[in-house]
Amino acid sequence: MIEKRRRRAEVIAAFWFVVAIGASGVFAASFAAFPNTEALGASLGVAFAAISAALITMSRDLLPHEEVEDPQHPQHSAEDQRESVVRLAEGGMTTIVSRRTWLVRLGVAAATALGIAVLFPLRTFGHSPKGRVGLTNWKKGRRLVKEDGTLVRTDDIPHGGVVTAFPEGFVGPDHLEDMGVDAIVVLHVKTIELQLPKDRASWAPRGYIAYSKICTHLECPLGLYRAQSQELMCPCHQSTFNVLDGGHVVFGPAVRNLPMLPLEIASDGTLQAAGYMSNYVGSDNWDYGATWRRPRERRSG
Amino acid sequence: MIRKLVLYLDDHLGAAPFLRQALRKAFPDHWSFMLGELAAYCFIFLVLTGTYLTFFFQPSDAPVQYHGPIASLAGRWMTESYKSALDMSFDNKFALVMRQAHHWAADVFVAAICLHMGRIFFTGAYRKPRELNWYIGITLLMLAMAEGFTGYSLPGDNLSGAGLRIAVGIGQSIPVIGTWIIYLFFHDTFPSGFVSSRLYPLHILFLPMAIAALVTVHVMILWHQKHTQFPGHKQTEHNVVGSPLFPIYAVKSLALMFATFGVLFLMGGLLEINPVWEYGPYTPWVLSSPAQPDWYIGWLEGALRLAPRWAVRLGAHSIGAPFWPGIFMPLCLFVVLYAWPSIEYAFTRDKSDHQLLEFPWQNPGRVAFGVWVVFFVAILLGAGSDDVQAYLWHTPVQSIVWAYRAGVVVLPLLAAAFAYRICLELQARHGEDKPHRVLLRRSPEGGFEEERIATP
Repeated sequence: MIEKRRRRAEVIAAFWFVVAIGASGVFAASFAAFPNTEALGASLGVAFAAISAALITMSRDLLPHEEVEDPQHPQHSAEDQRESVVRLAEGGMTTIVSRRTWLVRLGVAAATALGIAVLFPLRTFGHSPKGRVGLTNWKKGRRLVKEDGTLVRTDDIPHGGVVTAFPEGFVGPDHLEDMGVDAIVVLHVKTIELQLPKDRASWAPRGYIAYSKICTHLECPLGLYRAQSQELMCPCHQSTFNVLDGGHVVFGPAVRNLPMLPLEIASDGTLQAAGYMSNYVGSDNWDYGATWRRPRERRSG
Repeated sequence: MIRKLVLYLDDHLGAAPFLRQALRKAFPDHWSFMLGELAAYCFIFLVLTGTYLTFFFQPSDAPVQYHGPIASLAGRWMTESYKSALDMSFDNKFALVMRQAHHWAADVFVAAICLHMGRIFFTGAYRKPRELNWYIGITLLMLAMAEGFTGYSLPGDNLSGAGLRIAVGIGQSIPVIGTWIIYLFFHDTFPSGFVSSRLYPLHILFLPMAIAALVTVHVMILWHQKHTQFPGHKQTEHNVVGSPLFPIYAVKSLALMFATFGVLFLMGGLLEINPVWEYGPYTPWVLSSPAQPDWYIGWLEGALRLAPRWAVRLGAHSIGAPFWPGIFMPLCLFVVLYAWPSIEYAFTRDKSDHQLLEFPWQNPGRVAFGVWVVFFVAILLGAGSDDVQAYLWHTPVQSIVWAYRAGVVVLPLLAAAFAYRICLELQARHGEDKPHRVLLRRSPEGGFEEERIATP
């Protein structure tokens, strides 16, 4: 009976080994004949899995199922042994430390000095965030261009339309970093629907209104515009901003309102900035999360 | 040949006494003891497939124009990293298998670590003398998460780029030094042109080295302390009962390795994951919904979506809202996990060594906390894809967010209370099953009294 079962297991294990050989062959052949992802991955996977199946069969039915027992002791050693090691360690330490207090202190001072000194190379890892973080290249008179550098004209944006724009001269593959903070959405809304604060009454001429496209929560681009409710929504964490009242947070985890860019329309119908961005762009940080003051500067360096 | 090998090892290392013991070392037979091995095999698989991928990947942020076979990306500017990720996926079909298998393996790796950790936690295997391996294990979990995140951020596709920028925002919310950390790490405003230069060495050198080193220590400690075991007829606090390492356990373990590799290659070939060519190159001003990270980061994403708008103002400074869900919450969670053996000690004052595991129901308090953590993280993970659920269920995402906010507070507590109750129930039931003797006492009036005496 047991012998019969062993015979059976041998046949099964042999079968799986043959499958593995076959699958390996298919894998090698598919490299030459039909190199597609599915065939390559499946044949290689089957080869490995078949060897596994053979080994499982062997371990179940062909190998002796013995039981062994190892002794288990508490980790701690005999009391006298522990104490002798404690004495050794303490004694060794004492020979270093005792009677040379001034030398030890000097040693600690040297190690501290070295520790501080090796922090200095850290500074070379990158630029200071001062004068950069949260600031954009927008300033009065800078014209709006699209991703490809063409000027943004009022006729480009119908009512309910939306365009992503950048400051002229800061677009292209070499300006990815600038474009990531400068990006704005320009919307065209009905003037009578606007509820802007008094000091921003002139910021949206003829209903052309611009906001930073960078969410004030965690800097995802505000890719979703709901024309019905006139809201900009972030696809990352669903922060939602009202575009009619100056970018107030309507929903979601964002705290600061969306920075707004004052616009003006040039005589040739192109749009340009009428000033700086109304607030720092991007996520809150230690320095400007709490401040609502208007940045009177643009990016440096 | 085996004879020669053994004799050679003994001639050169005096290995006979060690091998005598090692080959017959007892490995307890329980499937849950193989979860840690599963994680280890995933790691080996990740190192092997990852090494292969480095032969093709070009870690560079330099802009190049695409002229490859993907029509939708023709003429687009992209980083060299992203282009090399596309090229390896399309020019070399086997590299795509390896890329997808590598990505799947990372997901399975972290999952295996979590399951292994669950086994250790719910059976109390971390108790004295095994606290050191518990600390190392949690460190390994965090390293594995960091390794995964730096890995899927490397290709420079739009999805991972947006994910990195979220991480940048979280980093910037750290009080006092946040912006400095980010500017020093990325050299400048993200994306700075230094993204690959900074992530790549971490992903292929530092983090895997740290993981390999800690896994080695983890296993050495395990080898020295020997396995824990479930209580049984032969199992006591003074022995370890199981299969010998050689031959049977070695064959079983080898089978697990082949099975792991096999399944991962099958997944790599048949199940598409992270199709970077669909996302396009990282474009900081373009992103559409839905956008989700890998599962082991998804719970943090969920926390960011649910967290209330707690921005703390301190004079001219502030702590931004993302700090609480992005840094503070996971920090607290991991600190509590690290401290768990000490927390338990504060209640039990139990200094003795434990070689026998507890069944989960034997310790309702521990189970309640563990269940709370599992539910808390799982609900956050669910919240991390609330936009997909809003789409599938035709429900406004706002309602779903509020449901999750209530859920993440209430459900883990309910589940913990329920688990606690079940444990007590099971304790009562198992108490009845225990072998016991009955003492019959005859009263002076002639009646009988029955008293149960538990056997020691």
